[in-house]
Amino acid sequence: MPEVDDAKLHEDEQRLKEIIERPKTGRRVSEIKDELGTTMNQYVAVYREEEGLQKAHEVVRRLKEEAKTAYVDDQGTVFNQDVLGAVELGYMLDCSEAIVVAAIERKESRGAQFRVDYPDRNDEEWQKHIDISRNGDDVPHVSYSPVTITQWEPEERKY
Amino acid sequence: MAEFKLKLRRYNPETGEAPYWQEHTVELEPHRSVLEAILQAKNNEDGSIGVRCSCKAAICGSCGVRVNGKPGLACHTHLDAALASAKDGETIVVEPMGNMPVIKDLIVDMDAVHWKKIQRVTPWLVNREPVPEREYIVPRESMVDVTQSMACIQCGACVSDCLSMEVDPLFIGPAALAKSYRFVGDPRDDMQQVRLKDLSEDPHGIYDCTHCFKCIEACPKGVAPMSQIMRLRRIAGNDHHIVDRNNGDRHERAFVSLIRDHGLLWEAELLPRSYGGDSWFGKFHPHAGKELLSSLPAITKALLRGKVTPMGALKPHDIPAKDLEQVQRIYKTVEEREERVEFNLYISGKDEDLLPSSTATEEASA
Amino acid sequence: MKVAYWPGCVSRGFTPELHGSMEKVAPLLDIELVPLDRACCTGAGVIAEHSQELADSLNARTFALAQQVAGADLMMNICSTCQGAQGECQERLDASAEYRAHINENLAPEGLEYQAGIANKNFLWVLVEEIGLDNLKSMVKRPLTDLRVGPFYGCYIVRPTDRLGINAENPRDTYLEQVIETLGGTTVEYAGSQKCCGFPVITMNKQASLKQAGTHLADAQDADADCLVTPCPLCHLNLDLQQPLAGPVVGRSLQMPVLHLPQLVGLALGLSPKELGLNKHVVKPTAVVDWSTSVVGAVGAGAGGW
Repeated sequence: MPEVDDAKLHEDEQRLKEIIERPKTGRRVSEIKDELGTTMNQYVAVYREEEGLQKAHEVVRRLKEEAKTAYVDDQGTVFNQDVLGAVELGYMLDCSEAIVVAAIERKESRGAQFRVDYPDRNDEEWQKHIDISRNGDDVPHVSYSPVTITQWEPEERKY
Repeated sequence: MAEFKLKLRRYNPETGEAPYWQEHTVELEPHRSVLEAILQAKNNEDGSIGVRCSCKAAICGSCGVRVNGKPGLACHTHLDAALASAKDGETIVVEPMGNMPVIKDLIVDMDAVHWKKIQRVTPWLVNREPVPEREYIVPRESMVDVTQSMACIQCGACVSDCLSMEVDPLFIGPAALAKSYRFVGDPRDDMQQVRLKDLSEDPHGIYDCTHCFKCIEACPKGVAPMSQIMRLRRIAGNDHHIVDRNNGDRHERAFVSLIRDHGLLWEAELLPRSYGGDSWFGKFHPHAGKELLSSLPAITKALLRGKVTPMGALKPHDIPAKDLEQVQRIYKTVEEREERVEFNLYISGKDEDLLPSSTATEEASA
Repeated sequence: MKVAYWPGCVSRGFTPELHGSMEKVAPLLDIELVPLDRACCTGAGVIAEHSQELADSLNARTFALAQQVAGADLMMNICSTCQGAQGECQERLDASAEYRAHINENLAPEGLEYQAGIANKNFLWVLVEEIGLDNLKSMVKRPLTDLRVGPFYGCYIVRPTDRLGINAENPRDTYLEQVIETLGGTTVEYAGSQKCCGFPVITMNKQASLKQAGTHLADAQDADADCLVTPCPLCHLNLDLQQPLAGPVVGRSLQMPVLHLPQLVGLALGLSPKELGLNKHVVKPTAVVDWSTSVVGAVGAGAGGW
């Protein structure tokens, strides 16, 4: 087991305490999770296009704000799945935003992304990874890295 | 969409209060699961409801609960089916599993009971030496033989309802014993004899199963743990001749021989032989004497009531001699076989399952 | 109706009053019993535990004998354990023509052969499905008014549900309650009605076995039952014969009469407790239950002789 210093533990404890003690004035965690799921399913599944992705991005940004005041019902310390749900919601929102931003960025169709507005595969411009990082910022940063090709040359899917 | 009334058994260890019931009304299609209903109540009304779940597809084994008193997976129980089994005809009652301490609401302590028992049976393969340089080649039949026990997803439903464990918490129990068959039946395992000896001699081992079928009924994956326990007994007694201190093997042997010799059970002889050994002399063994002494109150009463009479129950009642001969010939035929003939429905299926689907549909509509 | 009748072993051994009461009750219900005297024990699951092929062969032999009874509507037993043990064998025999042929080879020397699909029913199922509850009700001479009866099914007749054909159409796991009510009695709900009596482990783990019996009896007592009724003689052994030992194990003073199903039916059909062998039980129902108030018009209740 890796060692964890007390300061970090204390910090996490405070974070959980803050969630548990939130007043019931905001939205329910489950409500936000539900809206996030529905939005991602509607706009960011296999068939994607600019307009829908932008809408999705707006929703995710709004939900991120709302999540800061989302409340939980369970105030206990035993098997508190409610607070766990609130913590996980934060990660879900981060991941969702990364997916949406990268999907908007990639203006071609490849693999499980079918851009209705860019139906063709474009190796010349897009045979590269899109890396999304946050580095403590609220907004994700986009950068690229090259694809390492090993035994199998990538080729267009023809079925 | 339809409305369903859900009644959950809640328990919060931090309040010091006793468990209590909480009712919710949920709206879902009837083919959705009880788990979906619980989650809807949790999401929309009370986030503090504790329930374990993960895959929602009856493969992770996390959401074991009792629905209307019967154990199973919440995700594998449709709402319409649950409603049909509701005691009052309208309320779906969900409780935590039994035989395990409740941590909170529907969450039970699997570590304290289920996993501890699984660990008890050495749940891994002990290599037969010498280990071959390349992979073991295992006959297909022997792997098919253990598939049923391998289908277990460790949900604990069988443990929840085990009636032996209810009165003897130390009983190793259905899930762990099915797991142990998974290795006893594996030709690569080197410990068949040791495992069986251990499980036979343990007073809470294979002979502590009361044969109540609860685990067979509970299992959502068709593992039939009780059948695996019976196979463990069969191999322990027949192949390894393990005579255990719990009278398990002696009882089986006495029963089988009494039917061979008389055609009908002779209870007055079965009990003493189970303690003292499988012969007419068994009842004179000190163990049998001790047992008879402790049963004296029951026997005396039975005699006083005229229930048991020397001329009635205490003498054997045989079937006609010619029929007894037939029975004994069948015994001889079967017992002389070199290989055990076993027919497992889980593996073989039924003839009717193999019919072409059109025929099956015609028959169903006929 | 005419049935190929399999009484089992215990009903002629340690609980002779079961077979005896069935013989008394059958003519009143217009059931003609043709006893399968040549058949042997079902193995009660123990022979199957020893050798599946042996159990399947012995029971196939019994089925074949039953199929030879001319004009019989079905085969009937009065023992849950027989029902369960035979049902298990029948399921395998009926499932596969190949396996059935193999087992039939074991019977061939005596010219016996089992044909798939025998109808084999416990007396309880016969009461509800063949005789019918309305019909049964019309035969009641002495309704069991004010008699509070706890149903005790045991295991073999309620599990596994699919093998036993228990479903919405045939809710066989509720038949005892239905029969009790039809006979004019009151069903008592208590925790143990479909649990194990403990009998199968009596020689292996006596404490656990008696604890099971004792717990169910005490639960029924706490629910104010006058008596229990069971379709299984092995349950009867653990609940009645062992009751004097079971009480101390659960720290309770137990006085719970346990009736065999034909005895309960017989009482309502007007037979006397003595004719039905109720005086032969270890816990004498005649001494514990006040039949004169429990049963309206009780014949000879309280009078000397029982």
